[in-house]
Amino acid sequence: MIRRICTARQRLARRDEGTTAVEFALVFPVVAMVCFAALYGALFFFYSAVADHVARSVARKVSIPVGQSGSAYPDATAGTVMTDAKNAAGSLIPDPTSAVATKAPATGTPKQGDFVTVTVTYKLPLFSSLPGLSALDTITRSASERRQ
Amino acid sequence: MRAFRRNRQDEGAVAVVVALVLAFAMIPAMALGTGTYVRSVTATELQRAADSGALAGASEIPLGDLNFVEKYISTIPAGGAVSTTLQNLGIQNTAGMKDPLQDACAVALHDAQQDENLASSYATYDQSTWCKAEYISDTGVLGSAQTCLNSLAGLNNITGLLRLVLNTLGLGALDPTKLLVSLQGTLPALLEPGIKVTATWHVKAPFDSVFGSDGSTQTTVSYARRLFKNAVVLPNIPIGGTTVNVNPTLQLTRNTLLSTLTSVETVLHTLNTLVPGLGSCAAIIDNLSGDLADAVDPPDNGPSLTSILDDAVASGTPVLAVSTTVVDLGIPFLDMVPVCLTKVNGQYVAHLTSFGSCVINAPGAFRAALRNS
Repeated sequence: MIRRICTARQRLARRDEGTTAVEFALVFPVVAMVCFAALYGALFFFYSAVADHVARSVARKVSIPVGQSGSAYPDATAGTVMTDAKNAAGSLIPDPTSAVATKAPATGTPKQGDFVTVTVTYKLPLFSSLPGLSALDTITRSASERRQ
Repeated sequence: MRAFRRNRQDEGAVAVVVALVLAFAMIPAMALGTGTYVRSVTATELQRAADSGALAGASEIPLGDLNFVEKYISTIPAGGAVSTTLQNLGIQNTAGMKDPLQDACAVALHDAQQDENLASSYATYDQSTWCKAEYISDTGVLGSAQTCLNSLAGLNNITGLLRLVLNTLGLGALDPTKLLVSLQGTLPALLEPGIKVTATWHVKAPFDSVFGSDGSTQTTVSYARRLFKNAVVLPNIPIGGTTVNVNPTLQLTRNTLLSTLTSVETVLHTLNTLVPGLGSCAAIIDNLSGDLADAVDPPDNGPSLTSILDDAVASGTPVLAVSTTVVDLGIPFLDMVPVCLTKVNGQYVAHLTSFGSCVINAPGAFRAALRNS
């Protein structure tokens, strides 16, 4: 009886079928997470650069007067800012989720020397709906210029 | 029993390999990626702040007068940059005027302090020393003229150059001093001053301390030059006159203006061949032609002439008047004069003199554009 048990233990100990699968199951989540993080980081970086470019371009455009009669500094409407942001982003990049221009001082007729700040927001398309990542899916960049 | 020992020796091998890969490959790679990201974004933010400051400062450089032009050119060496005050550059009455250099750094700081900036978390800087703004040398017509003057023996001022040109053209009877009077309006408009902003901060990425790094210093430079917002073309400008009716200008078409400018360019090219020693000064003509083309070639979707004039009247800001004839001299002569406008009974009137601080300070007359130098 004892000899049979020992023989069975020796036979089991020599068998290693399935160890690869077990090791894979252990390592795969780690590797997958690293790859996911790298992909997410690259997307985040890309959208961050795009948002910065769009905010800067629109702020520059809004800060320059267009010479409309009666006011050298037309107060940019939300629709105008969003259109400018879409144009600045270009056709190969998704439209910004939002683009808002604020001015300082906040009230009164815009004039030379006032600050105009454009804030552009992107939501990363792939990760917006994934649990746990909703807090990291939004990229917001701002740029300010003085009205000239 | 040997089988038992062999299997016991293999236990944990995968864990060790994974630990080694994580420790020496994955985590360093992630740290490197994070550091690269932070440094790249903060460098962009620093450049954006410097650009914003340079644009704001350059658009605030006053138009000034002939004294300002001469001091600006003589104070700032070609290709150089100088940090000084407007008073030192010849602007006497600076009451109510913003200092362009101080404002450039103030605007840059405003942009650098955006809440969304990564720099707010990873960059450190002393707000009193992180930004340096300087005036940069003129690169327009006047800078070329100064280089030309320096290359001509025996000439050390603009009056001397004018005398040489007039003598060569057989117009020696004309008094260069009188001609210089008309240039009092012209030269400030031809000056193309600018501001250089140098910004520096220290960035420490999240994993820098893990690797024993103290972070890195980022420095960026931005150049912006002052430009006139708008220009109108007058048929002629009288020397010493006080007003001119702008309305005939409204009838001029863009093609007519460009045709006129082409003729002027031809005259200038001829002048270049007539005057000995000016061969090396061809850049003057080239730059002048470029300036003129810029002045009369507005964007396709730009404002109409009447809205430019209405805005100028309403806001009390000058416009740049361009003319190809100065009546009193009786010869074709190019003049670019900043004028203040009023509107009387529907007629626009440009005030060439006695406009006080309107033109000297020229509030709202300029915008700015980024340049490479």
